[in-house]
Amino acid sequence: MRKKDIASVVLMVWMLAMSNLMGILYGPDLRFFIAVALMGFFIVAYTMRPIFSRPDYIRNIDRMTVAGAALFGLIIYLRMLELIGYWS
Amino acid sequence: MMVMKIKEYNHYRAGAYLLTGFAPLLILAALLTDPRGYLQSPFLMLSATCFIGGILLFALGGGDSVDTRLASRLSMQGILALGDIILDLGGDGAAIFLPPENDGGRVMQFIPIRSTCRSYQEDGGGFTHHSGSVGTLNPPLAATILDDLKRDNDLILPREYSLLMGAIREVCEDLLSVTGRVEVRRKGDTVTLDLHNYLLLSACTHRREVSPASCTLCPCSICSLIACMIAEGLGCEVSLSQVALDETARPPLMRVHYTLMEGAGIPD
Repeated sequence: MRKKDIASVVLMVWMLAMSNLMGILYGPDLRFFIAVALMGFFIVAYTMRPIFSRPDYIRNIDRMTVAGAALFGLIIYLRMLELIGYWS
Repeated sequence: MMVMKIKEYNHYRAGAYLLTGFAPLLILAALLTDPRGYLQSPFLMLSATCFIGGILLFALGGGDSVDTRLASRLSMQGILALGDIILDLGGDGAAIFLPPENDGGRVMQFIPIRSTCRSYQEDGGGFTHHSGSVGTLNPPLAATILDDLKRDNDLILPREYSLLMGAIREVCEDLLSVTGRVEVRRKGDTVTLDLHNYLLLSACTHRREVSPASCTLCPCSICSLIACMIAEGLGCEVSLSQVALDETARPPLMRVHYTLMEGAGIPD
């Protein structure tokens, strides 16, 4: 099994496990789920990155990482606004 | 007649379209099952899962894929004729890959020539002396691929043996994606690489059937590329000593043996 196949399977298993876990433990929250899924994606993207070369697909993964980081930042920002509103 | 086709989409792209197609359907399911609290619906999280997974598969795909039989035949174009020419000119033994003489230099391939055949060129032009034997010196077949990988994919060749083997694995498995898995073993001066599920194995089988001697005399495709990487990375002379193919193994296996000249001093 190639590294790319393993990475995609691991990420899908992570996301499905987390969605089920969130469904079982407490009410599903889409923003929290996306944040958790993106954390899994960042770990997968980091571990699958080759050391000595840069294959073409890594450029796509880099672009996806930038977009994911922006989305992650937005989710954290919205959560912080929520918390500030709750405390004040 | 064997029909060879160029696949329009690879499996990653097909999976990506399937998953991203499912995402809106799951959103629709969330809306239909619970129109008011759809934001808390598990279907919505499944939709996000499909969407993120689909984008990942789309990113991992890319590039057109070619039928492996077609690719293996294309990779052999001219190689058989070249091997025959070298054998006819008196090529004998195994080619030696010489490391670059300086930092900007290139790996060169020395092909030994039998002493009885040297009279073809009376003035000795075109022949080179190396370690007491006479032969031809030319760039290896994979020299251009190695240059391309360095330029386009920022390939770095480490100087340490263990790191270099990691780079070879990376090139075969990730960069070129021609093997499923690469195993490396070393015993003294001999380095053995097991290429599991090598995609161009049928071409190698055909070449070995036609001319087994030319395989080590003028290594082609992946064997030449690996030899170039070892020679340049470790800075030592390398020769391809043996190639063994096992098409009956699951997955199919190609075992390549390299001999490092004066390689005993290179630590593992």
